[in-house]
Amino acid sequence: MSIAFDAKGEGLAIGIDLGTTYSCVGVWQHGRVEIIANDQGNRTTPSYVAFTNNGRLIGDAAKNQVSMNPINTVFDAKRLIGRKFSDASVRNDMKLWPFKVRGVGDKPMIMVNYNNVEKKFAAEEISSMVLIKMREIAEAYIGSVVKNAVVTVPAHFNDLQRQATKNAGVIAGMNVMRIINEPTAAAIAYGLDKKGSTVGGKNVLIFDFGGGTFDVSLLKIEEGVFEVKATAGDTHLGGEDFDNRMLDHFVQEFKRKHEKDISNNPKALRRLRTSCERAKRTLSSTAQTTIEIDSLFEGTDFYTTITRARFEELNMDHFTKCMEPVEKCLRDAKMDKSIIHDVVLVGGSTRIPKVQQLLQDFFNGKELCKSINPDEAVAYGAAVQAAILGGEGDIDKVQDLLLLDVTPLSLGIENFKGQMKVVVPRNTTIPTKKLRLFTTVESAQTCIKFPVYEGERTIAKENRLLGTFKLKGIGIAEKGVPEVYVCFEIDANGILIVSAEEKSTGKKSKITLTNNCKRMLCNEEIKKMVKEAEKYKSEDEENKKKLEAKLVLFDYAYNMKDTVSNLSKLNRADKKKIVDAVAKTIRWLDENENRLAECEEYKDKMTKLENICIPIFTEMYKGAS
Amino acid sequence: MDLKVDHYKVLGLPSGEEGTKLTQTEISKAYRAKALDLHPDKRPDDPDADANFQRLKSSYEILKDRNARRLFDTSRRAKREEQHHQNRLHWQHNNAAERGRKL
Repeated sequence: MSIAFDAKGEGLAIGIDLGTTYSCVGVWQHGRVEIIANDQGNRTTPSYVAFTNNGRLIGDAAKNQVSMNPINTVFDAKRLIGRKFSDASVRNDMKLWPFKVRGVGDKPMIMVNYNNVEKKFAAEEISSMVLIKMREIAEAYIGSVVKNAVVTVPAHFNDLQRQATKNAGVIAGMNVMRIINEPTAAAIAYGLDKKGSTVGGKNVLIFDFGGGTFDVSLLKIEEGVFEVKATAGDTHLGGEDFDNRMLDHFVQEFKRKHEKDISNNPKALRRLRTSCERAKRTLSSTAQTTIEIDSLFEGTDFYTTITRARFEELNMDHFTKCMEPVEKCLRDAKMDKSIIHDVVLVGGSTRIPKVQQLLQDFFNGKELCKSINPDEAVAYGAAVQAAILGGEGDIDKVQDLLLLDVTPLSLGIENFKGQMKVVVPRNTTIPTKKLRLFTTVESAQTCIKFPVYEGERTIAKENRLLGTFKLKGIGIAEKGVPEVYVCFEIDANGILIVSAEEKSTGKKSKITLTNNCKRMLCNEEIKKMVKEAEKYKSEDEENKKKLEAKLVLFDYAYNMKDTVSNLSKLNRADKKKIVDAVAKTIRWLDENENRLAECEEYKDKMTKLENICIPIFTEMYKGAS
Repeated sequence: MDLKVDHYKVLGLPSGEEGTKLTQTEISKAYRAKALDLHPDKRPDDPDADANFQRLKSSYEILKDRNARRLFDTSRRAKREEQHHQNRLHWQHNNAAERGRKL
């Protein structure tokens, strides 16, 4: 077996689809992409992190225990990442989340109880934990350490959300080679699937509707070049919103039927939500389904049915909202819908028949392309891009592949009239570089401040403020004389980098540029989080050892209990000795049910128990022989 | 607009009158082929890759925009005609001088 290592000898590079609700990981190996199953055998892993008194759980293990531990099980970190605490969407989401979120200097922080201590985590840290889990899944499969990864984000993610996702990778101790857009990654999966039939060029519309976000991208695919023409979307619309609507509907129904309000009971809400998610999936293939939850609230059972028609009615506004970005995308690309060759479905929510029908109607009955796996296509494309960027050996098949992606939002500066002066218009191919000339408005002015915004509104303040940059150290001169060129560079990740140079003095180093945007993590904070992430990881390993030691003791104690009760040869005094010792151990285990003791303690208890049991048994067998 | 740069040449296309006759499809095709060659992802060890790709992109941005392209084509044509005219003048002048010598 030959494994392709990249040119730098850093091992294989992986592709990670970091989703709102589920994540997926893939790797390019032996000339093709392998989507990697986790330890449970699942090819997607829930983006869930749970904090318990027995340690930290990530993925399936976290989601499986969610109804027992709703307030310390964190999910939806992607709906928080790179956002302000005061954002309307954060405010609304908080009402639905069972875990607590608090604002620290307008940065949302997730509050949990971990090992009986109140802890606060940034969304980046939760995402980093999911990334660590995905890397571990890949490492277990590949059999060696993985350092490099390509991570995907929704195409419509803004600068701060991208930067924060990249930081999550840093906290996870990974080298994020590239942040790529989810629909573009899916387009690679489509393009490789349809290789050969893209001769002469194809106009492809990727309709990526996932668990939490929605993207539409229009690409021209020709001879290996994937050129994104336009992109549009909503970073806060997805399958979870449909679950929420259904949940709301059933909470009302429960109130009506049983005159009881479950909306303040996180456990009941969680159990109902899990059933809603399941019902939603079932309704994609059947016309009606049932919800059956025993003892949902105060001993009352909840049995009910829901039809597909009712589900569609509950979410109709969400569904129709999906068609707007499709129109916008076509408009931006200056293309008519009649010249689209393929409309490709990506993401779990595209399984909903109503969504498919609306989309098909929009394209005048055109058959939709369902040939790629909607759950895995994004990770597939990310894995291909990882192989290309890692420069692996056997990539002949994909060497001639190039992604030309675009920036989703216009970027500009507020002028003195308060208007948005666009520097980089939306749908500009990245990487890109634009220069703007600045000068002073007063004599002997040495500092210029300029706020940078992102968005499409003409009034700057109505757009998103990325940060206020400050140019300091301008040479003393008459007003209007200094010429400072500010360079707005959007890198291949879609992240803005601002630099400055003073032309009049010819010195570029003199000018210092600072961004006083407080919502981003600074380097010190990231370093601290990296250290903490390492600490949590070693704690996980420690907890695993403790848990194993606990189980060994547990098994031994119950085994002894069982054995002595079936033994007739043992004299009464010895039997009592063992029974008492076993009872004492079991009592101690029960008392410490919700807490992991040190490994030493378990081993100590184990030795004590053995020291009582073994001599008695040895004596007994000696006597018997 | 920088008239010194021949945007057709940057895209590896024939310039002059021939360039103005190219279709949008031909221009896009040439851009994609060049991008595959010049993109920084394809030249990780080339320090000029970024600048070269930016140059390609700005040329393409002009040629794919119908108005910008027309402006560029007209200005280039005017420049060519001016050049042609000057060459003619130069030639006439030379000829006259020669005739003068002969006489």
